Amino acid sequence: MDFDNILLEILNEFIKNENIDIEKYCNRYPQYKDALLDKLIIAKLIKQSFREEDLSGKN
Amino acid sequence: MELDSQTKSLIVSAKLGNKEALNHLFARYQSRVLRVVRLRLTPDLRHKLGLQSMDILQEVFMYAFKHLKDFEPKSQGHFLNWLSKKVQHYIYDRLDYISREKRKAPQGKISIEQEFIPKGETSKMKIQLKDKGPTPYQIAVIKEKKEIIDSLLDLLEPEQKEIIINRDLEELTFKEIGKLYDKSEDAVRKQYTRAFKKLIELSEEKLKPLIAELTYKEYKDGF
Repeated sequence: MDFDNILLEILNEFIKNENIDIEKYCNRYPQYKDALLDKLIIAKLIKQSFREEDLSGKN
Repeated sequence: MELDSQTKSLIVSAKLGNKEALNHLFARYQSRVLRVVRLRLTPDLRHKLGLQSMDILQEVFMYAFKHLKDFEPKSQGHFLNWLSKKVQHYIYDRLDYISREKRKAPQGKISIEQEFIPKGETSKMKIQLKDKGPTPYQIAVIKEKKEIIDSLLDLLEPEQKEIIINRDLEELTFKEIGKLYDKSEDAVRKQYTRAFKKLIELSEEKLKPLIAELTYKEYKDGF
């Protein structure tokens, strides 16, 4: 499977549950380990940014 | 996502005319809704409207909340989607008003900040703004991230941008989004995943320096 499809598979999982077992994917696709981690860090940061709006809004 | 019980009870009180409840609702949702509305405007309109002005924001929210009596929220997403659409409606009314006034006064004497009474309203309204929030440093970091991500959202296809707004900012479920666009839940989920992947790819370069600042390790350990 190419990198794009692997990433889509992981993101599909991430969207359901942000605390996904990334190690499972890193072990399955060791050649992409760093790239996958980088992408997931960004994904988490983006999601966090959407939620952080609440800090100045919700009590 | 189901509407939380506190919001439900605030809405009920606000419908009964409780000002304190309105203030609470404003404090809870102003930041999120402002972001949604700004994202849906073109950059030109964003600049023109000067939506940073708290006065304008309070007017907009009062206008929206005045229509609460006609609304029964079914979920968190349903409420946020309704609220942002009401705010958007007010903004377009305001833009119409400004263009009309500008035509009447071609010398450019009309200001965006001047008092504005929306269609169907009789007076300008004010509500009290509560100042509860994060520290100045947190605000600066949040603002920087938000600005980067919002500018990147503008680079997505309009449909992709809208689905991310629906899902992540209005908190609609995939099923609810599907109903809006007459698509299946599964089709919407796939479309969202692709849009989110694109946003990640666009964000990578711009967010990396910020991640370094927030300690790269801390984020890696988070997985």
